[in-house]
Amino acid sequence: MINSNTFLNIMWSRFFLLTLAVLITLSMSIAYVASVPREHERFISLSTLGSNMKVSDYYPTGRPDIGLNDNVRWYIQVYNNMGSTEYIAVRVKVLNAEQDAPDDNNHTPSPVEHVYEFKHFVAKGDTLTIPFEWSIVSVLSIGNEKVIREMIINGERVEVNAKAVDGKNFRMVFELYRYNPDSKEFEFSWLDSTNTKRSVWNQIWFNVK
Amino acid sequence: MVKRLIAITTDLIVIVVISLGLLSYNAYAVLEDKVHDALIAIRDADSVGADTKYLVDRLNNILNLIKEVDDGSLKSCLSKDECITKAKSEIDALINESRILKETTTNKNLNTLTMNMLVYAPIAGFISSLVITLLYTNLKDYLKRRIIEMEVRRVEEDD
Repeated sequence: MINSNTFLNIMWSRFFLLTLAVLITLSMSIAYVASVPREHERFISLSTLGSNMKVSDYYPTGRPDIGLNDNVRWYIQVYNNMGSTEYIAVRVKVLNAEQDAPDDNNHTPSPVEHVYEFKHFVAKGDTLTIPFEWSIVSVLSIGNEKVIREMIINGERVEVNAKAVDGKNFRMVFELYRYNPDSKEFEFSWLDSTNTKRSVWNQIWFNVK
Repeated sequence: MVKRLIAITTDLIVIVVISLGLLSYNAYAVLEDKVHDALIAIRDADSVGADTKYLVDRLNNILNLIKEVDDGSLKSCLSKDECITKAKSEIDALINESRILKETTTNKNLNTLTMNMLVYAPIAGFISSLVITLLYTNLKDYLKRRIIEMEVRRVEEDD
């Protein structure tokens, strides 16, 4: 057992006071460093999932041939790791194989007008999942070309004007736009934590039966 | 005379319709600005580490309300004006809550930091120092005792 005299001796010993000073400084530094928010990689990801919410089962028949009034169900997922709430817009474009897709080098979107758009807020660190249900309701055959004239996307009837030879190699392009509070505009590209320009998009190919 | 009266009435109707259109457009433009303000307020709360998920969910509901005004579906209210007024008041409430959340989180963070720096760090430092000093003193005493209690023996050297 330590008696009070020994305890006092220990307390006033040079070794104890030195250790105390070092350890208090160390603990305070750790407490401060732990309270400072750490810099992390900033990114937004966009994924298109099939009807089972996996990267499969994109087409109702298992083949990429979509018939008139075939109901196709996909899911659009946006993950926000930008460190703050983001206001995003996903613009959907219907393109054929020859039309320009978004440019990954210059980070410019496809020049084709979008047929559908949805806007949403995504909390930091959160994943947004939006059901994307579509069907083709009007197709025009001109010579050997098939022209998609009308589609229903999420219950909304939209006009389309996309044509392809034999109805082959259409693609649905999803472009992610991020709201820039400074310009008050939705922008296709932005800077990440390393000040590198980024843009996010993806596409799924299909044919019209 | 009648023709002139009809022309004036038509002009008046056109003016009223255009004015109403402009009024509703302005109201919508105000809403977009308010949405922007709400985003900034939520981001401010984000910056101090607040959990803003429920505010973002509410803002998405307001966005749906604005969409109803835009496409004229009006499921949540009876008229455009009612929708706009409802959206406006909800955004104002949300901005206010974001500010309160930011203040609360800032105070909470400051309290946590103060407690960690001024209470837990010194206590942890004191306990650790005491344990280290006790171990050191005991070890030093033990080694001292061992040296003091040592017997000097003559080692018989082998020839």
